[in-house]
Amino acid sequence: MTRTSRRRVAVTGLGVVSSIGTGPAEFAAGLRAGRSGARPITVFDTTGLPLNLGCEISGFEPRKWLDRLSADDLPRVAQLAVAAARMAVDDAAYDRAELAARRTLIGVGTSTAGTDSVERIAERLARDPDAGVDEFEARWTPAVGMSVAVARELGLSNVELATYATACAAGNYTIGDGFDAVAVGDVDVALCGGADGMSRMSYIGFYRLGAIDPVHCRPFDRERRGILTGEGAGMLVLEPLDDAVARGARIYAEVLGYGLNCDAHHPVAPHRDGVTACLRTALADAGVAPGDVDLISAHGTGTLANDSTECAAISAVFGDTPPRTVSIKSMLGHTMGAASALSAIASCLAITEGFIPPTINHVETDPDCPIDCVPNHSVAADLEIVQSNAFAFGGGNAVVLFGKN
Amino acid sequence: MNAAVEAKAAEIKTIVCRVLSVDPATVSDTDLFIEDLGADSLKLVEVLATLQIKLDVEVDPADFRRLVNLEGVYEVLSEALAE
Amino acid sequence: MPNPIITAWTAISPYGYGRAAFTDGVRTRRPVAAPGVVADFDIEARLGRRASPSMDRTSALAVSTVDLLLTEEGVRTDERTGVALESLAGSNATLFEFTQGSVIRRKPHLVNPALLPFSSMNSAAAQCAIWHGLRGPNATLAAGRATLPTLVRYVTRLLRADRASGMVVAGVEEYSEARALIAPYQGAGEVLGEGCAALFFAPGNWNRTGLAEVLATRTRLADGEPERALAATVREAMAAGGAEPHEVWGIAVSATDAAGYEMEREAVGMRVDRVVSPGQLIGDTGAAGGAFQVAALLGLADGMEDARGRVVLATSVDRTGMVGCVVLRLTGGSEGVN
Repeated sequence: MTRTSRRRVAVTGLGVVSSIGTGPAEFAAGLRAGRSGARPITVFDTTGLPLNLGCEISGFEPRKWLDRLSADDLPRVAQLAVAAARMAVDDAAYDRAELAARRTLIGVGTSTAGTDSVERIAERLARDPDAGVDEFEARWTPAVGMSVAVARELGLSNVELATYATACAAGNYTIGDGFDAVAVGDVDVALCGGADGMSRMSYIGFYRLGAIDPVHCRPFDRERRGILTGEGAGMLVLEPLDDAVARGARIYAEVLGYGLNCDAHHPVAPHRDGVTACLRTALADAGVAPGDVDLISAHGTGTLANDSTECAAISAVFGDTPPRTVSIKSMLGHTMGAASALSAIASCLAITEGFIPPTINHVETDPDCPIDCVPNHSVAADLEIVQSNAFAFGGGNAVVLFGKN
Repeated sequence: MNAAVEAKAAEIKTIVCRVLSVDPATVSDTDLFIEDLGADSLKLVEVLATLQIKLDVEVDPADFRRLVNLEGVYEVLSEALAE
Repeated sequence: MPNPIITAWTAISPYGYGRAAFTDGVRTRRPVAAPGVVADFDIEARLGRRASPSMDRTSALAVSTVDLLLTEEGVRTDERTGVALESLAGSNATLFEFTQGSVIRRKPHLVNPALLPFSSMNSAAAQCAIWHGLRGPNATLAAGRATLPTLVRYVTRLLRADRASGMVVAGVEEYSEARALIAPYQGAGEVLGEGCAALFFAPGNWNRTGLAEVLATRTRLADGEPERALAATVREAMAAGGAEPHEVWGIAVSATDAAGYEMEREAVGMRVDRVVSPGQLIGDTGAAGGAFQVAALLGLADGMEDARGRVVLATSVDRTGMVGCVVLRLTGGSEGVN
């Protein structure tokens, strides 16, 4: 299948639950304002831990987004995923009966859905060996449960469906597969994105790796020390561009193409050559020259390793005048499996509304990160093409390009 | 190193070498982990964590940078186990 | 659009190491002690000193099996070879060790951080890439027992879009006390098993015969009873693949007990002599089940003249209601030639 023989794919619906806003309008406002989602962690016990800052969602009411399913029957991460999916389908103004009649791909990316249930089971048993296995959590240990919940809430049967367990790049994996599936005609519509809740063991693990910033998340800054962990869900509706136009749908952006590869190098640290190759593959797939990219929504976790490696790759591909490169993780923290879905949504909103979200908490740019990170304040910008990067633990890289319609 | 660490020196060396994937018979107390034995920062974190867990001792993160070779490990652990 | 070709496979299972051992076990339906563990699988012994002491058993099984695929089965890779794996919920044992360490030690952060990447669901796929230098797309999908058709569909799309030169496709699951505790509530079979089955998928323009061609995959989320949804899915998949019932040489079911076996067999609806149920032979291997279904079919067909050119099906039924079917045409190529 060549680039010319595949159907063009549009993004027509967005759903977001995040620490800086719920729904695309509030999320866009939060991005524009440079809102920070950082606050003391409350969803798990931080007693005895040296740091306790994270980017939790506050005020999420799952019942508001559920008709068929009951919130009590779902773990938090599934509630988030279903809410975002529901929002996206409504936002796309996609007729429900139409949707049920068509073949749909449902792809929800994650780092810890499923394993978070195993974590809670293990914790309870360690605290009280007689407590037994928590049956509710055990039923939710297969990671697929979250994606099935999305299908059930929307009343869909004619589905391809999976939870994409590809860690910090998962959102982009689903968007890429959704893009291919729609482009080649395997499905008529794809509902893609990612979700993750706050995980105590992720938090502790990252802390132990020395990867958590004790103050705040400051990507590309000289004094950066790491991530803040966060939670969230982002879902996008993808459909053939021609269909979207025919039904008068609002088109946020077109998915131009994407690239996937693997560093095959290290379980945790990113690899410059692997990342560089992925950027090149994505641009080639999208038929975009580096000079045509107006904005990069970076992986930008705020760790020393990621930000300098990512910027080295950007330099290798874009030369001395790279596009402006921002990290919304400065506002949202690292939402793991949801991260690249939220970055994709931010990219679409940036295109549609004509602004660049800032990299907040910025004091001084690290010379190792020679990019304009649009520090602290958003700016108006007419964006034609936006690139969204994601690099996972384990070395899986996924980069997606979006274009103005 | 102090008596407490000396008693455990062989065990400590075994643990460190296992984490760094090197043969203990070929490693001297002064071989540098990073420069001579090919370790990276994640491996060093794993070394420290494994030692803390297996020996039930807590080490101040500030001492992390002293773990350059086995000699450094014995010194840091001597201080930690003396408390 | 050209169909991908399965060119090679191998397995590590309670039946032993490698393709011949698994094929022999499946053909003779040799009973396996419960739980079905892989004998003599010591990570350090198998992978050597290079393996981190923190490596989880699931990743180790996968790395070892892919090693057999590349060495014994002679699969050749290049810089665009990728990896796609099934997962249920990663390595329970490693997650237990990581989590419980945080509870029982003096401070909650006195854990071994190297366990973090190994307790992630993508660990096995990442380790396969690292150990074998596989730089193409690296994916891990979770769709319960319906992961096989989902994974095959995903890989088909990748290969058709020329995003990889070939894909290592595998399913892996470890046996552990932690898994044994949780499995009953996941709807697992009474007898658990472990192991890894790995296959190599080449793009449709591959210039040799190969073992099987992927004709079609279909999945569905059942509204009520899964049997009707599975029957419809099988019919659709057969039609999409251009296959007729009389061409079907054998089927592999995902069931781990007699009731499930009967249900899947009934749903297929055709009279087929050869029905293999790896879940009842080596135990419920969780995320590896689907890959073992294909391995079992290819093992049974190996060297059988009457199988050449005929069709085999793998059916899937997951507790969530996801059902699926993969239709393959056996192309009768020789094993171990790539």
